[in-house]
Amino acid sequence: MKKNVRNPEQTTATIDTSVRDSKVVTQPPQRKTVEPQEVPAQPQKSETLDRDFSVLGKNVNKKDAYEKVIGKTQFAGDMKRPNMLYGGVFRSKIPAGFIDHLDISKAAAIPGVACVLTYKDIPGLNQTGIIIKDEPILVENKIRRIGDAICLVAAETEELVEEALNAIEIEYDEIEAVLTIDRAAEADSPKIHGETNLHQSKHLFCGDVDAAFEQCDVIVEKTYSSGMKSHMFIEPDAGLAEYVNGILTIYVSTQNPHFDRGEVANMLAISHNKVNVIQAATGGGFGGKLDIGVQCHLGLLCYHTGRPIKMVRKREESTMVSSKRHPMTMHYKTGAKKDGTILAMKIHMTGDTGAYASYGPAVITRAVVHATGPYYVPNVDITAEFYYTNNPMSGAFRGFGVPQISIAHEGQMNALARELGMDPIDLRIKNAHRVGTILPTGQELTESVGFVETLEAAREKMNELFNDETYQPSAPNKKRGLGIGCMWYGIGNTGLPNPAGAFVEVLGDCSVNLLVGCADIGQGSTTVMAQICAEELGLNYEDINVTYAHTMVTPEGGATSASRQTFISGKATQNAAYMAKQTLMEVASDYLKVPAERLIFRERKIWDREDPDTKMTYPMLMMEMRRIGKLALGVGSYNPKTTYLSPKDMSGIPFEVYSYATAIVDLEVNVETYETEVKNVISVHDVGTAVNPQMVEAQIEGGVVMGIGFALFEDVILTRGRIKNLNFSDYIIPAAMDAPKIYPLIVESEGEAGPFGAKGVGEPALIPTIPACADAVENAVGIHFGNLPILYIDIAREMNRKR
Amino acid sequence: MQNILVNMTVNGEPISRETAPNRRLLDFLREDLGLTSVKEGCSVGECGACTVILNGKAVTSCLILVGQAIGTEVVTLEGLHGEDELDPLQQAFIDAGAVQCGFCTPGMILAAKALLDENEEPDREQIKRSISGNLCRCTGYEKIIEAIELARDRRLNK
Ligand code: FES
Ligand code: FES
Repeated sequence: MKKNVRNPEQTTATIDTSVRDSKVVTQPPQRKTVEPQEVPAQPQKSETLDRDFSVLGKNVNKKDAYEKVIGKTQFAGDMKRPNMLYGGVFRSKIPAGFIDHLDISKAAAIPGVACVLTYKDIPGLNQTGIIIKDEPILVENKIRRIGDAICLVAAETEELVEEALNAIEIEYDEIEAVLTIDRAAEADSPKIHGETNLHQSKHLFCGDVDAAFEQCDVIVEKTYSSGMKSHMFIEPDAGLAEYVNGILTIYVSTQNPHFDRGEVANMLAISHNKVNVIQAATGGGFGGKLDIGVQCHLGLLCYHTGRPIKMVRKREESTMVSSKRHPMTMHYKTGAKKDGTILAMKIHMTGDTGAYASYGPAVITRAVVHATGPYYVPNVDITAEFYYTNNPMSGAFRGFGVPQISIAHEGQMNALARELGMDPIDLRIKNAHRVGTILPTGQELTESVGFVETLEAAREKMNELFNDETYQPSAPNKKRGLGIGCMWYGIGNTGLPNPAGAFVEVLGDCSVNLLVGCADIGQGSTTVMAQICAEELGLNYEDINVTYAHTMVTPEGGATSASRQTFISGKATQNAAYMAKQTLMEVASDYLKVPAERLIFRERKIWDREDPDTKMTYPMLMMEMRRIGKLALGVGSYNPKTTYLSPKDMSGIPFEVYSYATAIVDLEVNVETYETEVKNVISVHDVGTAVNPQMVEAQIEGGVVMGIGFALFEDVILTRGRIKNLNFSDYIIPAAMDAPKIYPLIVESEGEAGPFGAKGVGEPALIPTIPACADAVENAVGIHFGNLPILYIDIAREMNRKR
Repeated sequence: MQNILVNMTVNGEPISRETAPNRRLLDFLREDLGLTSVKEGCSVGECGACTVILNGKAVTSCLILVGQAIGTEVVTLEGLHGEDELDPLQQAFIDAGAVQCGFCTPGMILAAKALLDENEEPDREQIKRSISGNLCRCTGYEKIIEAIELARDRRLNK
């Protein structure tokens, strides 16, 4: 692992050159921003030794690994209960229309069928949705997509569920399906929700783009697009519901247990504390398990039957109805001076949000805020529109629109470098975000901006691996190319409050119960929280037991999304641990007769930093605690310091911190078969502090390979709103043979915001590989591809056209 | 449909059970025997989550009817480790950080086990090929390959 601790002086010194000689804007734009939201008093910075950590930065074994390698981990589909029913969903087979006639009587009469439910059986709210509640839990009348849920069945066996679903009779009144955003925008198209198909529109601007373009020596203008993608987590959605002591308890594969709890309770019109959502082991999510999947359907069936019930989606059903990545089209106009200084960007983007909003509002906002890429641009005008259609629901997928726009902002940088005859890394360094940079939203970056260091580390590694003599194709029928891509990524929800909490109790034997809301979907947040807690308390990793994502027991954790858990739940954990430690400090201070602020807590020992011989062990301290009747308890929460964005120009503070990354892709194109093969990928990430470097690398590697799939082969194929490739046999994700040699590198930039300076890496890991693949293909074959994925048929078509 | 009698050896234990003839080996192991380490990800032989070792070969149990497996020897992840010692592959998967969500892990470890039992010293390419029928969406395969290399070396006492 490579660590580059940035040198803030050096980088801030170079900041202004990119701006000051521009005539159009001589000062960074002055923007009035709203004050950050009130944050409740937080515990002070902890007294750990500066960056000399005892638990952080260590590759401790993941908390969940042992159970997983012996096959004991219970995923929801593995659970069983006595007297358990199985559930299934009857879904629409048309993309748009109305239910003309529905007859469930034959299905309900089958012996062994416990119930068949329709929307009439919902006692409370028949609406769900993370941001806009526009999706019915069961359709009342109007059908908006293929796969809309219409009826639920519970039966004694899975075979009987199938039989009952087949016995349901339905007739539809089909109407025109709106299948493109062009059609959606037309005045006479059918309206999917309300009066207009326009789901959201955004406008972010600063400076004066038109005047700035006048000052530019070069202008690059191109259109880019990105198709629909499917998450293809390996575990299809699953859950089990039962009553435990009168509480409706739902074990489910989810990224969002606290949201799930509210949706189920509202549907049943019961109080939220009468529902307990417990995250079962979750076989991947990537954003596709943030929306309501089986939760409400299970809850309703359990409510009506009073019996335990399990639902496990088939792969095809899971792919059909879980959210998809927004297809987007992006038109970019970028202007720069001869020396590479970027002066202006004008951007217009559109997206297809499908039948329901899901995370659409978050995707459009994040895409707009990140659209310039990690570069200082003084004059910006960005407009965006997302439309409802009768296509599958688009939603959250690792990166919330940033992977899509990275294709465009990086495509533009590479095009600009070619136009100017400049080295693409030099061009980026010239315009890079640094501490002190003012963003188009008016926010000033104040800490932890390690972008330049990622570029430099990537260049160094590239020069080490490849040199001009040896860099040759592996065969005469192949062409080889290197490509570069970069990204920035705001941690947490965009311009919105998104707090998380934690509870800590240090027990008499120095072991700790840590309760956090944060769902662990395999990325390792449980391990990260334990490391942070142990570091703050001065205990060992093994001392910490973590209970997570269990809504009766753990506090709100928010969603495992937006790369936010290490930063936000991590900070909440640190705050909770610090609160417990304050009591411990008082007691130790009295006992050792040393002022509390001089005490060091580390590796199960406590000592005076000025006189290390004045010390006690943790067990002695806990004994003293017991003697005087004190408990070491802590409650912590954290809400990132952001502001709401202005509806006028989107100014404000969308995120408290940003992660940065650079990737270099080395690939070959076979000019006879037109197949691409990625051989090496360097991916450098500024993560603040790497809490567990091995797990950071694991995120990067997983992201790189998913990025290759995104750029070079994954594409959802739609015909009339129906996904044709629902399974792995025709939706091709990368297999081991497609995986290149990966060089994950970590940059640690300094900051105060996150827990011990940590930021996030889950989504950043994916992003830079995508534009880097497109650039590498262009450098290999000399053809620009702005539409991703770049499939072999696209390469064949363009190469033959060129010949 | 008349039940059939299934005799086979599972994780070293002789098994004799009646079950429905249309049951897949996957269902038989999961539902009848409770061996839930065998996962179902696609049901069409594409993801490898349901991989088990059958007569020494890694196979996808979603494509095998239980009747076809009568008289065979089957190993699932539950059968890999002893009372208090993990198989070198299990230990290596922990040490190399090769486990994320863990849904592919049982199939991956079994595919690797079948490889190492047949070829003591596979190289990186052979390792990649042996797990190319096992999809993982989390890891990018790198740490899984490293784990298999680590287990290979430990088995050879390197
Ligand atoms: S479930 Fe058998 S290969 Fe996917
Ligand atoms: S670890 Fe999640 S699919 Fe492999």
